[in-house]
Amino acid sequence: MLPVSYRLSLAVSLVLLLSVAVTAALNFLKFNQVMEGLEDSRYGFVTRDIGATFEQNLNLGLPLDQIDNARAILERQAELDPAITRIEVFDAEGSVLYTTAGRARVRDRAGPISIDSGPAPSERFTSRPIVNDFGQTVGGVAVFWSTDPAEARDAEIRETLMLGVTSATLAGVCIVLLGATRLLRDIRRRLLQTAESLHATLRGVLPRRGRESALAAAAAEALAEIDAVEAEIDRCRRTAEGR
Amino acid sequence: MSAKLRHDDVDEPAPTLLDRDTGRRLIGGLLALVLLILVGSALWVSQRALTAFDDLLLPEFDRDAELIAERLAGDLDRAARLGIRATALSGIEPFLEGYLAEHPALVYLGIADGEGRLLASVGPMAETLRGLPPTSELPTAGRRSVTLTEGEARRTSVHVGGSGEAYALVHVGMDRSYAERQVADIRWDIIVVLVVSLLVTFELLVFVIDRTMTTPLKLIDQAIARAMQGEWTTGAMRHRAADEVGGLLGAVDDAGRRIHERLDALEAKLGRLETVPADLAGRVGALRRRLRWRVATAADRPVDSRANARFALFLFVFAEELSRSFLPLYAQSIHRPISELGVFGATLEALGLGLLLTPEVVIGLPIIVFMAVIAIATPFGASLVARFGSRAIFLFGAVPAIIGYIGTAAAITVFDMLVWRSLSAVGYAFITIACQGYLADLAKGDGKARARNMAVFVAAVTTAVICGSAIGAVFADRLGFRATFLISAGFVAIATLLAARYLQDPDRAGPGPALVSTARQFRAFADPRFVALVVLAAIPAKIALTGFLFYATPIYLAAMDVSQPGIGRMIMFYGLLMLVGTQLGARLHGDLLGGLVLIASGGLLTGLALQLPGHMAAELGMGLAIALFGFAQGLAAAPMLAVLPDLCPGPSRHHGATGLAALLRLAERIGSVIGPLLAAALVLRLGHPAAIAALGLVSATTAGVFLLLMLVSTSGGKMFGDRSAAGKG
Repeated sequence: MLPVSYRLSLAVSLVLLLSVAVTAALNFLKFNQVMEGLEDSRYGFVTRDIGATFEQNLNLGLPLDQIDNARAILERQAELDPAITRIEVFDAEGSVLYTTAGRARVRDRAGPISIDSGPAPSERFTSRPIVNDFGQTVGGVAVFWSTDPAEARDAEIRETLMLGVTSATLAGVCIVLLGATRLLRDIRRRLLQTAESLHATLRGVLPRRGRESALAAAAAEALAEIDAVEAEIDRCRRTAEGR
Repeated sequence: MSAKLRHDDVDEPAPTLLDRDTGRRLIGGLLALVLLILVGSALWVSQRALTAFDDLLLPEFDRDAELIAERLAGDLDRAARLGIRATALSGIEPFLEGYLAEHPALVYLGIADGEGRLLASVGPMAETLRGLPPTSELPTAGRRSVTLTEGEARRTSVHVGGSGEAYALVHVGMDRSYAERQVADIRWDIIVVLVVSLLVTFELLVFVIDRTMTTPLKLIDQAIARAMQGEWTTGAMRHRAADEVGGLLGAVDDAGRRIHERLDALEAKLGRLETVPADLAGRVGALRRRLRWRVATAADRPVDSRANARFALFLFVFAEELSRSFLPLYAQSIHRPISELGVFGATLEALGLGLLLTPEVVIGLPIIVFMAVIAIATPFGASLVARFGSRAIFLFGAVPAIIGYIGTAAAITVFDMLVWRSLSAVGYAFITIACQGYLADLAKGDGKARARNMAVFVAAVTTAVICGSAIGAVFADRLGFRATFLISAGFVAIATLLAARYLQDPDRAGPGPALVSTARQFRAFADPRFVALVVLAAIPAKIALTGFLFYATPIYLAAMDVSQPGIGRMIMFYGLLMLVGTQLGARLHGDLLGGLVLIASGGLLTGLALQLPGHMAAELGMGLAIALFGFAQGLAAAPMLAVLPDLCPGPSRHHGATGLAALLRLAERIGSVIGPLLAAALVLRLGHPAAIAALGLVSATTAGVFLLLMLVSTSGGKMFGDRSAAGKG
């Protein structure tokens, strides 16, 4: 027999699980938001810094496609942050003029060359225009960075939250179960007693003292009346047979 | 055992097995238990999350600081290579100021010479750097950078120069509490999730206890009452779950069957007698008449209960309220000028609507159209409920509602969004009226029971408003506006499943209420007091509600850079304070005059509330305005319906107090339509604070005029003539 308290506990536990899961999910999503904001701010800063360096060169009268140390500028910037996968400087038509793409950063970090054939890291990027002294956009700079570190962070926080949700839910379910069983004890006892006294009556046994119920009494009364009439019929039958 | 049972749960004597007090104690105990567990679990999970955030955010901050320091170091390195001494560098502070603006967490930047003497420093916490003791840990040629926490700041210092003597040191200070501020919103969100969880749990518990305990126990009580009168049934709930309740029902079944079998055997025995004494035949016949037995029929189905409608209604309104805090913002985000709308835009221009459809008006259109469609669809819904029943209309209404939410999620422009919102409005009108109809039918003509059932309706709606607006804002912040509409569609689908399963139309005591023709309904407007109540109290209240709260509040708060969850929390205050106001209004309401004063007070307080944003710090002013506005609206809500029979006795007699209240509710929707339109026009001309104040003035003025007219009317009795009093309205 599945007690009512279990069914109530199940419903409450579902709400608990939902609530804790929503709390965890909202925490996770907020964390993602904050981290994305930080990354955007960080690489926005890098992009602006590189753009400003190129604009200084333009101010000296150099065309964008003839800056000697351009590649070195990009390399130096990329060296500062291992998450940067490439930096590209392009002209107004979008043709790439300088890039750090040949630096094979995945291989550098991963070691064996064969890793090169593996999947490329997922990337995000930020860009800004490069504007000359006359306010004309002559090109732009784009900084690409790998989302692998972010994914690793996400996995870590997910694991922490999952553990939290699981432990909180398990503890909560146990407490709910104990609490609901205790709260419903009285009602459960009354139900079981009523059923038991009725069954006892049907078996022709007197219910235990203190466990009688009005329902059992009604059934006993009905059966007693039937018994009485049946006895009368039997008496008539015996009388008829005696004749 | 009580044998005096009625089908309805409203006024019957307390069930024997689960009386009202036991039921309340049970729900109270379970809620206390759930509260304890939910608070504990949320704190536990959130604490783990916040600790993990801190652990992960700190290195990221340090990385940013190092990045900035390295950039500065690169520039200084070039100066070193050019042979310029660090102490001879000029214009360092403006140069550093430029960097300071690059990161929101920077609290200072500084450059020191090779021996650590500070040459220049900028930033709001630059003093910290200037007061750096000489013994402070500094980078060296061997250890190029140092990062450590010093008071409120986290300092990163980088060594500039080769492996020999240092050329300079770069100091970068990051605000230690910046990370905490970034996640501070989470704490509020956790509180919101907790409050919503508790309210949802309460609604769910009421429903679950009703389904698993109250209804089966009422069935048992019914069976017991019938058994005590000699009527035994079998098979009514034989298929029920095998718990204690099912066990007892099974025992009742067994008893019924046993008595039936014994009676059959008795009759068979009697039939076998050669001669049957007349008195014995009479006794068996009497026994057969007294101990009736039958197999349960559809009439023995589960007892109708208010909980059946309550939870489904709660879920549905909750789904609609999810978008309360951002609907105008969503419209704003997909708004495109008419010139970009191709043929449709050209048609609007040709119709001369180009000038009227300013961006302010267009982003208010989804609210205007939604309210207008509800006003139009509600009377149709009422007719359909009367004809087809609540369950059918609930299920029917769910179809356009779900399509509407999905369509809104995929809307391309505000104009196609209007179509989707109209569909949702049709669903809203049908479903709310279906639930109202169900609860009204459940009362079976008992006025008091009907009032209590309507209180259940209002409670479910208010709880849903409080929960939906707050959690909807959090969803929108994390998942986006469109995803939140999809969540709404999901909740409506769940509500529909529940309604399909549990919302069985109750047996009506007699024929359904006769439908009153629209023309006859509108005759109530011949009563000047009713007109005054509608025009000077009900409509202005709705103008303020939709104009201020639904339209202006999200846009104005977003313009102040208040986060989406922040907007949702503020709107939640409206619901919470309205609840307080409603309770107080219901308590204070005594005679007619008292009721009229309360209604006018609601309007005047609304006027006062809406002046606050213009006279206080904007965010604080808005918060207080929303809270006071909620209180004011609640204060007037109950008296507005309660005064009807005394204020308009004639129409009340003709339409009934409930019919007249329904007419008032229908008429006030005019205000719901006018509100956003008026607010948009005022915002366009006056800006947000003044527009909100102007809406408040409308409310205060109409409230003042209303009170004056009513005082003159009720004391002199002549201003409106005696028509209403004579019942000729």
